[in-house]
Amino acid sequence: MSNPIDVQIWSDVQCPWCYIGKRKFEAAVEQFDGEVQVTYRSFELAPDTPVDFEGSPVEYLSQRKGVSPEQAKQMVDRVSDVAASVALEYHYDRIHQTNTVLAHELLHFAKAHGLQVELKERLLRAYFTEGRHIGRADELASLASDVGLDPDAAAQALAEHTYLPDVKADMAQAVAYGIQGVPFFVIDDKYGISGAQDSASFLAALQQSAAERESTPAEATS
Amino acid sequence: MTTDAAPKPFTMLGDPAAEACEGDACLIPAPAAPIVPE
Repeated sequence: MSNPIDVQIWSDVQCPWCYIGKRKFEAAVEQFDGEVQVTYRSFELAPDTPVDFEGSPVEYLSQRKGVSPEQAKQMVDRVSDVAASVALEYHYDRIHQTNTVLAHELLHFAKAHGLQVELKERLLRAYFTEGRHIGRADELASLASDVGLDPDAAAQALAEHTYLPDVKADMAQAVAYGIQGVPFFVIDDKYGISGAQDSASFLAALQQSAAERESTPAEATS
Repeated sequence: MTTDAAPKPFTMLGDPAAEACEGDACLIPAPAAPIVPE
């Protein structure tokens, strides 16, 4: 297919269901007989979180929501089990709860350099599996380097907040679209899919979009 | 980058009950059973 299916994905880099949903979506793309073009859009789940929150995610939840550490631990264990079912390792004992706006700015920097998909995966693994601090510019520049981006240029873009307007535009677009939760997938600007769906649901949506293009070829190339 | 002014009339596909993150509570996701704040 010369004109790939367009998929816009609103998500946050510290959203556990976004990483799980990403894996399920990728499994669908592998089965899909066609090309898919993915663009990640910014969605900050907790923009008021400090960069250097002192404490674990369990403590964060206990403070913010008034649940006991034992209850928070139940939540962590459950999502970690679901993550493991799609071959992801979540290590909540290592996670640094933080503010993700700089990570989103870096994703737009990566998009401008054609490496957004690679960086998205790198940031998610860094946060959930490796316990890296994705709120700090120096860590982000290092992670950018891991996927082939220029770390100095990345650091400069973060220092100057070059891509902050793009982050804000994504957030505004999410509000305009009525998106309340992530991950949220928009396929060919026509279909919406919310949450970490099964791969079969993603595949069906891709196939439906492809079938519609075939039935209306004039629109597919417009 | 521009923002569309009006909500997009997407046709929603998939399971509407699929798990997603809404707000900071999802930074640690909800458990299988409801949690009662202390």
